[in-house]
Amino acid sequence: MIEFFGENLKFIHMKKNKLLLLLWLIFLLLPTLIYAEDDNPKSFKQVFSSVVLIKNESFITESASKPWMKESFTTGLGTGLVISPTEILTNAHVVIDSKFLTVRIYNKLKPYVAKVKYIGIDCDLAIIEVEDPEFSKDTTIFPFSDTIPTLGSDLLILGYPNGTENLTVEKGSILSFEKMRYSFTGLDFRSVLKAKASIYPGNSGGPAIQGNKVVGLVFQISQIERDITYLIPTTVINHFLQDVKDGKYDGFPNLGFNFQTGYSNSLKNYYKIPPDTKGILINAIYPQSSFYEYLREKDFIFRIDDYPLNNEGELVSDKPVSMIDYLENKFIGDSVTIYFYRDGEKFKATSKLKKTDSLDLYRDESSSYYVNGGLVFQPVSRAFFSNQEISSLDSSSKYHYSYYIQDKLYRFNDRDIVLGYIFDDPENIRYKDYRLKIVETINGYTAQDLEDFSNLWKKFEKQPIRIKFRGIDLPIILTPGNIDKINIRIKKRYGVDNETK
Amino acid sequence: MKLNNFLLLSITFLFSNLSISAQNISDIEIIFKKASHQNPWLVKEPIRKITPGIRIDKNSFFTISLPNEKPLFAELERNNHSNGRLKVDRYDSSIGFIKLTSDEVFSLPIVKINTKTAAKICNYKSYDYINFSFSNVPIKAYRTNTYTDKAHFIIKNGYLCGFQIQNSIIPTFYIEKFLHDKNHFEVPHPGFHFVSSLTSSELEFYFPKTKKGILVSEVFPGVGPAFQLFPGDAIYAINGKSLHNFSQTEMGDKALDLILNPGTKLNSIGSKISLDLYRNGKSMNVTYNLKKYSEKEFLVPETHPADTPLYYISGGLLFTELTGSYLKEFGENYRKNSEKKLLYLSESYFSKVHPHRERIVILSRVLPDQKNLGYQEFQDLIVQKVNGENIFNLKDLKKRILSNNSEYVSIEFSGGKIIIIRSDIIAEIDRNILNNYKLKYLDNLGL
Repeated sequence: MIEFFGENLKFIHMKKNKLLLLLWLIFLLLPTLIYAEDDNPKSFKQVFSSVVLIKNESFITESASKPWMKESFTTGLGTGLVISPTEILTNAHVVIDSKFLTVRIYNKLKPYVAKVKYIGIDCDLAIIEVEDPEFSKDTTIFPFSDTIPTLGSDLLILGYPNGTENLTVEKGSILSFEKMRYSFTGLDFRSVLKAKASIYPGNSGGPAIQGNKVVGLVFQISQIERDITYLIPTTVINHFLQDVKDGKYDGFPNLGFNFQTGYSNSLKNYYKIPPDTKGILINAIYPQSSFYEYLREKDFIFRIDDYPLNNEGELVSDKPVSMIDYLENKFIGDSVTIYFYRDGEKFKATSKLKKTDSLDLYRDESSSYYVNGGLVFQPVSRAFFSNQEISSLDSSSKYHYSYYIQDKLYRFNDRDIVLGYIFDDPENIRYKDYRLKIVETINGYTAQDLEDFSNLWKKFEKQPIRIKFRGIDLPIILTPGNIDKINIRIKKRYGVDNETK
Repeated sequence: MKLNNFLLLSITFLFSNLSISAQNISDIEIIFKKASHQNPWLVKEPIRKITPGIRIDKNSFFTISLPNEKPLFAELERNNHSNGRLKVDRYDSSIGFIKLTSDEVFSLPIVKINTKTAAKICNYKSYDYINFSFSNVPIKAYRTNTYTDKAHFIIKNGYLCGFQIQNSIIPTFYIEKFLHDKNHFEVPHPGFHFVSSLTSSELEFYFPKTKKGILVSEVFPGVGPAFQLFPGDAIYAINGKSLHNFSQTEMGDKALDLILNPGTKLNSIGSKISLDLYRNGKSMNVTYNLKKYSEKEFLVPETHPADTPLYYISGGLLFTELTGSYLKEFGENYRKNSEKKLLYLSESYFSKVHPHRERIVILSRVLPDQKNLGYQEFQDLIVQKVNGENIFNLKDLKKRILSNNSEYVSIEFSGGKIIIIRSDIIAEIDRNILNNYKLKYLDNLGL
């Protein structure tokens, strides 16, 4: 049933901990299990007809880290959960580079064309939409559970191991409810359900079911431990669904600052904070974040809305919740009031939560690039780092990516530029050690972003181009005559035009 | 096993027939002092390293071992048994040459070391300058077609031809200078790195049409003429000799010959070098004296230039100076496991100088005590300021904390973290740390 045309590059290139979801149906085992957990079960058919197979086909895809390289035919396979007559919930990473999407209902051959409606990069969720009215006839909507499953309880995970045609229903059990980095962005730290279940790349994902309710969506597996699967819990799913109700996805609000704990009495005395006050000290504030205009470094926050903080930064109530969770459960546009000490005086600031645009570099889906003289320049972003092998990465580009906000590197430019690749040519081969280094200046100027960089290059194209990199004293030198020669050779050898995208 | 023994014997036999007598050579085990940078107060088991050695006179031996270490003593090995204690007489830390002496007289044949005789009988011709992994200086080494896995001395008719590593031979004149030039036994370093295979754009940009040469890429502070010579300087003549007629492929080796080694005699430390160069299109001259390689003035040296890494504990906060070996103690995957910013600084700025910093002082970690709660999770942070003042090096940090007259000490780190401790509490924690961790000292700074 599943045909891989040509090379399934996407399948191979997927990181192991990102799972392609693929769902088919079988009857074996399932009845007893479902009956065992529910007094009033829906028929199996209903369970299965709420789950569809998603096929994401791209005829020419572009690699995020090497966008100038055209890859051949790609098919990505995944699962989706029907959530309305026309809408299907799935993982963002299943549909991310979609050029052409189709879905199939269980036991039906007809492919329905679908489109991405909402995509939540920061929670790895997406909603795709099917226009054909016939679609809803054969599907069922299966409800989400409103509670977090109990630890140790059993669940069923539906999926396709390693892209085979047979659906496997995996029985698993809940190990814990915890916080974890979502590997799709590598930035977002959210709740997950950790389950014991053997899930393989290409298979896993798909809904996890308990009784007749969906308790989560499989989205990543552990690379270290065997048979450990992670599910996006309904708390995160509900936030996403709530968010898109106004017709657009805004994303989870971000705390927008780093802090240290407030245990030290010396610290409190020094900053003239009453010793019995509990709270946290702000270390660094992200630019363009919700409280950027109100808070400063070394402000001591002791209360948020109606809740006093403890020294760990938790909001104290019957159920203590971390500041991060408290804010992330809210929506962009909600108001939040922060109470803090500054220079021994109490202040309060109310702000509407907003998107932290300065974090975009950690969520960029696709990368732009600029090629000249056989040198490929790219902005430093998630897209650039996603397909690079971490151990081979240069320490300067790793630093510039990870510390862009914390070390206020944004003071120098809007986006760092990295020499991502070199098309070998006799005139530039000497510079192979410059690959993955960060651009400092071009002809003495700091480029604000890639566009500015290409404009500066154009401005100085009649003179020798001098590109200085961080940590390397000697710049790359290319004289106008030699640039022309390289470009002709590169075009001839590699079919690459001088271009910007 | 039997077959192996037989093979081994026949090889020895073969060698002695060729007068490359293996009997001239004995294994020497050198014992080096080992220091841990992340736990500098620990007494570590010494490193032991076995290398082949030769007897060079009545009671002296020569061997090549680890650079940048502190050799304590050595043992002469025979049939895997220690056969005599040797004292370290001379050590060149940049290349690992060691001269050892003993009070006893051993029966091992003496290998004669004479550059002129060696030149006649050894007959080596083509050479390269090689940056061996064990050496901090480029070494002029002869090329040979015979490859060896095990480094060894080459001896012909009782004379030393050199020391072979893979298919390169370190010539006798290096060893002769080390053994016989009492005042200048150390190998000099050129003081800077350069690029010799320039692109046509670079030639056009840095040199006038009539000139060719090498391009300075990095100048080492404390080793080379750091404040006279700069990256981007285009050198066209060394000691008055023009580089113009050298081909691109031989340019690098010839330039090093002119700096280090005109002929078969190594230049001594202190020799005067004159460079004619172009800077921003203007011709100028830079002269300097050759020095020994040392990372003493580097911002992030590979190992700590003092015998042991420096440390200072105050209020349970363990401070040290960043070095390459500090990061390497994170293990084989240290590039992945160590702190990204510290790795970046050590890889990109190790030989640089900083306007108001001699070293990068870091808070390695916090030894927990009841009184430093709130800071115990701090680790591998760069110290920016103490009580508002920049920190030059670890001694400076200690002085500032000791001479603090105010009620509190504030220590700011890069990234915005801050530690504030009341001065009297620091003293209290220090007493607890000495007791609880069974430490003798809170630092090794000797202030």
